[in-house]
Amino acid sequence: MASKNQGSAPRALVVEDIKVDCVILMHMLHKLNCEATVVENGKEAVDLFVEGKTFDIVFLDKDMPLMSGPEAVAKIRAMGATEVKIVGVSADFGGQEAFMQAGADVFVPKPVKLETVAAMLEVMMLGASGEAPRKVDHESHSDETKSFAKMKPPEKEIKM
Amino acid sequence: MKQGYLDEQFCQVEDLQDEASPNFAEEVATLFFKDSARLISNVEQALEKYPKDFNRWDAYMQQLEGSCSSIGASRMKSECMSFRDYCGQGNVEGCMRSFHKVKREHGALRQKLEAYFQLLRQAGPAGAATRPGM
Repeated sequence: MASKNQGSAPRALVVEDIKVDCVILMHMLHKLNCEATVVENGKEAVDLFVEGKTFDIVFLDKDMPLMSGPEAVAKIRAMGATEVKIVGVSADFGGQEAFMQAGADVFVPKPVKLETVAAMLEVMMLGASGEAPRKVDHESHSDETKSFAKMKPPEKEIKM
Repeated sequence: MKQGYLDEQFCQVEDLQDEASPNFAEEVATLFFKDSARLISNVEQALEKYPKDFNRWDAYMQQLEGSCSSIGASRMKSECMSFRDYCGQGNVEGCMRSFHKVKREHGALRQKLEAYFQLLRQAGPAGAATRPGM
């Protein structure tokens, strides 16, 4: 399933049921010139992939109605979507293990910071295009982003 | 922030404001209070309908805690965490006490933020540079 999106705005999917968190993350992504789509639970996210929609990066909350973030991650990976970068997001630090075991590329604790999202997109764009990324407005790479670059999902290697 | 109601995360939300979204922080705050009222109601109903179902109570409160965290509502978040600690201990009384504190902090924060945004509106764009202590 092709997900590389060279030369145009990154396509992000936000999977979040808490409106405040959703609005803040969507606003960050718009500021970073992303095309962002939002759904309210893991099932809706999986349905988009089943429909053939492609994304460069997916942000999923952990606890959601109908289908949790980790469960959705496992299903998305099982469908063969191995290139899309998946970011698990949760206020619950215990969610990290669940997300990583399911196949996420990185876990970010809430509250998510703009600089973290910006740096992740920068790393992702560098990996997609092989060229230097467009300049984004952020101060420094956070620890989560350094992890994003190095993190390997179980039994898979991320080509960045 | 000096009074501990809000932490650095609220500044992050305010920093997301720009010409296209000059009232973004207030919009987020409005949404937070709408959302959190619903989440508090969920907890309240769970306390009533599912006695000693600490896992359920904890799950609902976790959502509220996450929401508090996203807007920087530090005192309210602290009370949410206290509630969840009591859930972990199986302490019904502790849960009830801390839930009342959550509701109290929710009300207090709403008043503070309403006053804050009203001050900002009165001050105009120049006043936005200086954040009143909260």
